[in-house]
Amino acid sequence: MIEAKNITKKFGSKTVLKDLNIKVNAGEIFCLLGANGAGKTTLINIFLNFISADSGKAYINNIDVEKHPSDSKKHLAYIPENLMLYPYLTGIENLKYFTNLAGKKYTKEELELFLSEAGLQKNYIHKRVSVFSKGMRQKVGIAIALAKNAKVLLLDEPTSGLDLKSAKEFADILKKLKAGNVAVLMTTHDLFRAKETGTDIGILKDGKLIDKFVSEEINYDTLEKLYINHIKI
Amino acid sequence: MIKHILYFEWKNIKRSKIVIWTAVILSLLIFLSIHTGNLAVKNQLDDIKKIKQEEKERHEKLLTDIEKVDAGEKKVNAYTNPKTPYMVGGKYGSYDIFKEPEELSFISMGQSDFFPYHYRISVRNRQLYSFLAGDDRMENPLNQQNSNFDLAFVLIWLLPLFVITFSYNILSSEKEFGTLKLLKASSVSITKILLAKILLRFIIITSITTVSILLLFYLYGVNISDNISGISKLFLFICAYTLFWFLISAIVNLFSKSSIVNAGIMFAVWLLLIITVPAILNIVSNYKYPVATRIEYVNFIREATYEIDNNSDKVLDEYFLSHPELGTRKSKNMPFWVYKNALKNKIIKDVSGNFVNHRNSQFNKQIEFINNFKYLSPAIVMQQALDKISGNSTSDFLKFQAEADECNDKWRMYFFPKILRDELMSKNDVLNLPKYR
Amino acid sequence: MLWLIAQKELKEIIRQGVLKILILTVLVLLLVSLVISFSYNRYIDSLHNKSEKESREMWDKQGDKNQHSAAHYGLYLLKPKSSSALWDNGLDRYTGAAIFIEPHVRNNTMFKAVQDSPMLAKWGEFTPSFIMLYILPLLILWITFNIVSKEREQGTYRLLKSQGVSSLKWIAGKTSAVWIITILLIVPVFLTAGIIFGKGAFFTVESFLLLLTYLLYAGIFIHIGIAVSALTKKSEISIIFLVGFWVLTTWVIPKITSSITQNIYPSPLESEFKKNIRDEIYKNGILRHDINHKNTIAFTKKVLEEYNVNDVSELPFNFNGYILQAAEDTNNIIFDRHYAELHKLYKKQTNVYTVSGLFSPFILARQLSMGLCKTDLWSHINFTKATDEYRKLFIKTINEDLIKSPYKPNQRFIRSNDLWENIPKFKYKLPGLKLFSEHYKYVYAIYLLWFLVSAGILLFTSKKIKF
Repeated sequence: MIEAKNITKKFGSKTVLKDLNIKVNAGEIFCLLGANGAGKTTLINIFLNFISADSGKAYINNIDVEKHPSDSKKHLAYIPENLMLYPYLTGIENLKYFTNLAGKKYTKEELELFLSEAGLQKNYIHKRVSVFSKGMRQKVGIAIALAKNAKVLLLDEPTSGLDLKSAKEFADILKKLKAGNVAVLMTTHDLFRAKETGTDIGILKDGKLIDKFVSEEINYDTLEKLYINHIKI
Repeated sequence: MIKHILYFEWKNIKRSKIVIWTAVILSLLIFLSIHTGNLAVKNQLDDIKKIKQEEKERHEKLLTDIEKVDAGEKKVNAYTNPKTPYMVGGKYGSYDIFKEPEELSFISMGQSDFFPYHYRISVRNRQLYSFLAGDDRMENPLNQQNSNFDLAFVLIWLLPLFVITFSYNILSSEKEFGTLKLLKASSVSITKILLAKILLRFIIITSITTVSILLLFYLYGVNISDNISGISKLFLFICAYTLFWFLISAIVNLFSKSSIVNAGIMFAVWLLLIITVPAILNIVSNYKYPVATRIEYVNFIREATYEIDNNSDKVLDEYFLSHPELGTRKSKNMPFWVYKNALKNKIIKDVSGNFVNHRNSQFNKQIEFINNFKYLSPAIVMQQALDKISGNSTSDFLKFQAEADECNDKWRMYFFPKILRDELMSKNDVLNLPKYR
Repeated sequence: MLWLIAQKELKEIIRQGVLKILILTVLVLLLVSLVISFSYNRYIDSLHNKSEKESREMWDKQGDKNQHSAAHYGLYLLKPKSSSALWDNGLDRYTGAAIFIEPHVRNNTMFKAVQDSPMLAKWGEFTPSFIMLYILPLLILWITFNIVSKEREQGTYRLLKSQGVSSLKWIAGKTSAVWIITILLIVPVFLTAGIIFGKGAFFTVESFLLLLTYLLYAGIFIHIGIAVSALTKKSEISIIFLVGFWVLTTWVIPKITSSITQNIYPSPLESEFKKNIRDEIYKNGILRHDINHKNTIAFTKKVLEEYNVNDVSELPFNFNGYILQAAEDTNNIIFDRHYAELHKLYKKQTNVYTVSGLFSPFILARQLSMGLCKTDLWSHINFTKATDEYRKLFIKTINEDLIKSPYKPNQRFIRSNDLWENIPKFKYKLPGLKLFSEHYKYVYAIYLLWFLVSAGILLFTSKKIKF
C-alpha cells in the first residue's frame, strides 16, 4: 500500500506539492498524469526518502518513510525513467548485486527465472549490460522488483522512450504484478498507456491532484478531452 | 569569422573562474620559483665571496710570513717554510677559479647541483682532474635529492598541467552540453572552431606566464636590455613548449569521446613525456655507455703509482739521472714526500691519459645519446634550452672543468722543476706568479 | 554485504580494458625496476668489494717502510650496499661511497655516483620505490577518482539508493575493493622479490615495516581518492583535484622544502668547514709537523718534565710515535666536535622535511622508505662514523708500533712489512632498527596520523553523502 497524507513540498519560494493525498492499495495500479514540472517526480522522490516533505506523511505499507527509511525500502522497488545498470556487469550479475544489496539471496537458476519472468530474452541474461537497449534494462529493473518480492512498485515515466512492442510487454508484466497484489504508483504522460494499464488515473497539476477516475469507468476520448482541458487552464 | 568565435569564447571563459584561478596560481608559482632561484644564486655568490676573501687572506699571510722569515722573526722548518714552492704553489699561494653565476642563472639551477662551480688551483691537489673534485658545499644529500624549486621546474613540469586543465574539454564539453551538434550544423568547420578555442587559450596562458615573468624580472632587478637575447629565447621556448601541449590537447580533443577520457589521456601523456621517457633514457644511456667510476680510477692510479709510492728513492734517483737539467738530487727545504708527490703527480698525468679519455668519451657518448633522443620528450629539450640560457648546462660545466684542468696543469708544471730543484722563492717571485685562466 | 559490494567493484575494475592495462603496466614497471635495481646494486657491490679489496692488498704489500709514511699511503674504505637497498637507492647516489683513511685528518666521503651521469639525474631514479611512491598513487587515483561519482553520472546511484544500502557500507565496500587490488599488486611482488633477491636477509622487521610503509602510502591515496570522488559532483573535477594533490605533494612541496631548508639552515662550504677545523687545531691542537709551534713546544716540554729527561732521545719510547698519537688524540676531539655540529645541522634540516611532511605524505613515506632500506642520511653518517672509528684504531695501531720502535734523531725508522697485514680489516655492520627508531619514530607517528586522518575523512565523507 502506498499512501501520501497532506504532503506539501516547496523548493525555495516555489510550491511543488500542495497538501497532496494519494492512496494506492494492493492490486491497484495508480497512473499519475501531469505535464513537466507538475510535481510527479518530486512525489516519487518523497516516497523513496531521497528528499523529505515540508509537511505531511508518506507511507509505504503503513511504514513512515522518513522515520524508518531502510524498513520502508525493504518493501518497495523503484524503476527510474532511465534505468541505468553497471555496463561492465552482465544482466544476471546486476540483478544479483541489487537483490543481494536488498538482503535477498537466490540461486543462479532462480535469478534466471526472474529475468525470464520479466521478459528478458534468454540469450541476453549472461551478456554485459553495455549492449542492452533501454527496454532490456527496464526488464532487469522489473526482475529486481520481482526478486525483491516488493509489495510496492514506484515507476517514474517507465515507458517514455520505449518502442511500441517493449511498451506493450511492459504493460503486460505490470498486469501480472497487479494480480500478485502489488501496489503500483506510476507517473507518465502517456495517456494511452495510463488508460491501458492503470486501475486508477489521477491528474496532477501545480502540486495538486485535480482529478481522479477509475480507469474502467472512463473511455479514452473523454480522458483525453479532460486532460487537455486541465492542462490548458 | 575566427574573430567572431574568439569573441564568444572569451566571453564564455571570462565567466567561468578558470582564468582568474589559473592566473593567480600560475603567477604565484612563478613568483615563488624566481624568488627561490634568486636566493640560490645569492647563496652561490656569497660562497664565492667567502672563498675569495679566504684566498685574499691566504695571499696576504703568505707575503707577511715571507717578510717575517726574511727578517728572521719567524723560525721555520721544512714543513712550515712559506718560501718553498710547495707552500707557494700548494697552500698559501694557491688560487681559486670560479664558474660565476650569470644574470639569468636563477632561471634554472640545472647542473649546478651536481657539478662544482669552484676549483682550487694548487700543486697540493690530490685530485689532479677536476672531475674528481668534490662539491663546494657540504650539502645535505636530502636537499640534493630534492633539488631546487626553480622557474625551469614550474615551466617544464607544471605549466603543461595548466594547459591540460585549461583545455582538456574544449570540444568534449560542447558534446556533453549538446551544443556540438548545433555547431556542426553551422557552416564553420569543427577544426576551425577548435583552432580558435586553442588559440585563445594559448594567448591567455602565454600572456599570464610572460607578463608575470617580465614583471618579476623587473622587480628582481634583472637588466632586461642587457639580457635581451636570453630573455627572448626564454619566451620563445615558453611559447613553443606551451604550443606543443596545446597541440596534444587539440589532437586528443579531436579524436576522443568524453572529457574524462581526454583528461586521462592527457595526464598519461604528461606522465610519459615528463617522467617516464627521461627516466628510461637515463637508464639506457648509462647501460649503453657506462662511465668508469672514479673509484675505478683511484684503484687504477694506485696500481700505476705503486712503484713510486713504495720505492720512492729509487724512482726519484732514476728520474734525476735521466733529467740532468734538474741537477743533483737534493731534499733539504721541503719534506721528502713533497718531492715524491711532485713526481708522482707527473707520473699519474702521464699514465692516466687513456683512462680519462675513455671516461670522457663515454661521458660524451652519453650526452650525444641523450641529445639524439631528446626529441622524444619536449621536457628534455626545454630543460636543456633553459639550462643553456641560465649558463648551467652540462656543456657549460664541462667547459669549466676543462679550463680548470688546463690551469691546474700549467700551474703544476710551473712549480714542478722548482720543487725538484729544491728552490726557495722570494717575495718578488710570489708577487710575479703567473695567473692562468 | 561489504564483500558483495567489493566483489562487484573488483569485477568492474577487472573488466575495464584501460584499468587492466594500467594495472599490468604498473606491475611490469615494478618488476623491471626490481631487476634493474638488483643488477645495479650487484654491480655497485662487486665494484666496491673489488675496490676495497684492491686497496687493502696494495696496503698489505707496500713493503718495508716507516710507519708514518705507510699511514700516509692510506687506505680506501667503501660503503657496502644493504640488500634492502633493492627497494630504494635513497641518497646513495648523492652521498658518495668512498672514504680515504689517513693520519691527521678525517676526510669526507668522495665520489657521488650522481656526478658520473648527471645529465638526467633530476628526473629521478627508476627504482621500485619510485614505482611505489610516484606511479602507484597515480594508478590508485585513476581507479578511485570516479568510483563514486560515476555511479551518479551513469545513473545507477538512484536505483542503488532505493535498495536501502547504508552509505557507510557502500563506501566501505568500494574501499575494500581498491585495497584488495593494491594488496594483490604489492604484497606478492614484495615477498617474492624479497625472497629471491634478499639473499636470506629478507625476513627482518625492517622488511615488513617497509611493506607496511608502502601499503599505508597506497592507503592514504585510496582514502583520499574515494573521498574526493564522493564529494565532487563531476568526475573531471575529481581527477583534476586529485592529480593536483599528487603533483603538489610529490613534486612541489619537496622542492620548496629543499629551497627553504637551504636558506634557513645553510650547509657550510667545504673549504670553510675545513678551515675552521684547521684554525682550531692551530689554536688548541697539536701540530706534529710544526716543531716551532707553541703547543708542540709546550707538549714536548711537558713530556720531558714528566719523564725527567733533557732530550726526547732519552725517553724510554719513540717520541715521534708518541707525539703523533698525542696529536691524533687531541685533534680528533676537534674533528669529532665539528662533525657532530655538522650532523646536528643536518638533523635540523631533516626536521624541516618532517614538518613539511604534515603537508605531504610523500616526504614522510620517502624518508621512511630510505630509512628502512638503510640508504638514508643517518645510515650514511653511521657508515662515516664507523670508518672514522676504524681510522682512529688503524692510526693508533700504527703509532703504537712506532712508539715501540727505536728512536734515532733525524732518521726515519723503517718497519718490516708484517705489520701492515696484521692490522684488522674494516668490517662494517649495517645499522639495525635502533638507528631507525631513533630518527624516525616521530616521522612514523606523523605518517600514521596521515593515514588515520585520511581514513577519518573517508569515514566522515561516507556518512555525510546523502543516501
